Amino acid sequence: MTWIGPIGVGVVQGLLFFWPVAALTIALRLFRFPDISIEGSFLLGACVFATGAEHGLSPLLAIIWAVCIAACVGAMTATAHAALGINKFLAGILLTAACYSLALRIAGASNIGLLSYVTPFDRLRDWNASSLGTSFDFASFGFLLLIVMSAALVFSRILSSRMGLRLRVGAVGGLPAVNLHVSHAPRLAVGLAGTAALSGLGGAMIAMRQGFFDVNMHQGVLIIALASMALGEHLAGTQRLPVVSGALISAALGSIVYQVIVALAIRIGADPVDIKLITTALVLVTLVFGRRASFRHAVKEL
Amino acid sequence: MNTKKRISIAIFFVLLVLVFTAYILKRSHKSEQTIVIATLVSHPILDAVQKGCLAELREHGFGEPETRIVFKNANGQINDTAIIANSLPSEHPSLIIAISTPMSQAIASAHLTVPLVFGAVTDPVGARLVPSLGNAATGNITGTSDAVPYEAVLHLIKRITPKVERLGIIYNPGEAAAQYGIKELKRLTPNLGITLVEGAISTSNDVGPVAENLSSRCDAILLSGDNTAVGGINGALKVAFDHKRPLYAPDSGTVEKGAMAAVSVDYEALGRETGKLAIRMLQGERNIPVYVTSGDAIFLNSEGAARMGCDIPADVRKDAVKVFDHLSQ
Repeated sequence: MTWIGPIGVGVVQGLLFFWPVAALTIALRLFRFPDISIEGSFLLGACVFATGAEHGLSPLLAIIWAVCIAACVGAMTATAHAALGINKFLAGILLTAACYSLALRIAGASNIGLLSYVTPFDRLRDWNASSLGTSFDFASFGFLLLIVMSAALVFSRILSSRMGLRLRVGAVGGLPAVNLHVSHAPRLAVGLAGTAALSGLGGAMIAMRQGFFDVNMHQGVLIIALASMALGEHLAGTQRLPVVSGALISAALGSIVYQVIVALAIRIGADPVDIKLITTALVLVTLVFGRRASFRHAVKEL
Repeated sequence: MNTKKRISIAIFFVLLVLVFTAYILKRSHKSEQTIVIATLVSHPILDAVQKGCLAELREHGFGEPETRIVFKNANGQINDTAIIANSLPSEHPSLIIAISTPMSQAIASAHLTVPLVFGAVTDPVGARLVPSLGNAATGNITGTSDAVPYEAVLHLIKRITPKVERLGIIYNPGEAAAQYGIKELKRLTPNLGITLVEGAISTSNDVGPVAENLSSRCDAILLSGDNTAVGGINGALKVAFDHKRPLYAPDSGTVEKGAMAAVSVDYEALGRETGKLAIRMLQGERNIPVYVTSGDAIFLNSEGAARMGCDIPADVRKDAVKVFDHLSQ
């Protein structure tokens, strides 16, 4: 039984981290843009949500604000690269740095507590406790699963449509875009605004879930997103899947598996010092034995 | 290739076995009561709090092996605090001790029914952990605050260097402790006839260059009580020695390293107070007000002062809890 708790906690955290992971995966795999500024949009999303909540906005309205402002970050990164000719990495780094100052300005403090603010998660938890009576919060889990799945469906439809195809070709740029007469800069701006909005949504939901915004909460998000993406692509075997659904499936799978691993490592960790070591070991084990094909291969080798 | 693969697989198995043994060993000695101590990251100040707290618990019969004490550490990853907070129910704790602001907020917002004692939270009201320091509206949350007593710090500055008119403050605006400090200093300095000159940093490496910049415009420099500023003390010291500017610090450890003077929070003592609150909670007491350090302990460094070209008046020396006479590295 003691294993179920951390797995459940990890899955919920994974569903929350799906948003920044999906943002990075779509930007990198579909738009060929290694968008470092997802850390900035994540932070700004959390910041705008917390500030809005502090000023008495409803959770939905605060999230809408957060998503819109985060989207601007992506659009600016794209403009810096496509219109001003700044290197992709540098554009992302500059925007992330700017977001840090902006977040401090907007929030007016480095940390905003939301403990007295009633979020949908609080309502779901109370409902879960009164109606289902389980210690694991199935209501929040179901709610998150539902929105992640519906969002994944919607995005895969949009990105696979004719319009989505033009967007992807334009965002990648180069000869195909020229041949098809689709413009590069505006489409890249729209594409990255979309992925930044996802990342900002993730930031807002994570701030909501953990009950506070902190100006350092974006640190490590890029690494987590990269690790989750790579893990997901390995486990899902993306080369056999269509490119759009492959990206979304690997983002969801990778994010959930990675966060479950972190939760298990925290649960196992006899000494907190070893947590990162245990995480590393678990990720390696998952990578080696995760795919059935490679598992069979490994067994044959032994 | 094949041998390589086999070796790596063997290593994974060994690691797996190690992990499981650690887990089983941990599960095997069960006792009736569990206390969880959760912290954001290991660093000197937070570790001192934890040490003091554990010592207090042990002396009152709440140490191992009578009580199972579980340590959780987010290793500096703020987003992992939520994982830790939400997985705590599976440990069945009787009490949770949370050290640092984000960890305390994450646990408080998980709405566990278990009493929570926070330690070393600079501004518990601003962090929304409690409605007010004395107020007991949230019955099963209390803790200790490590707010640097800036009023006492400014009075000490006036006593040692009465001619100071422009005071440079080095701080990281990204830390809650610094935000609190700046707010306090802006409120207090006008009454003392001091002009505050702000020098913002974002990493400890910025401390040296910012101190250099401030030294030409200020009579004295103060480090804010945030981890980034304190971490860059050596950069500030070099500037203070080179330009003969008095450098004041927020804690005793920094004075030991060479800063001239501080009115300090004793973090181990703060940990002991945190432990005392935890014991009162375990004994069933609720609605306990937050403990705020009185922080009137003055620490001086005579060697540091000499190298900054300052004389510490004899009456200040007499009031000091400790005068260091060398620089520790």
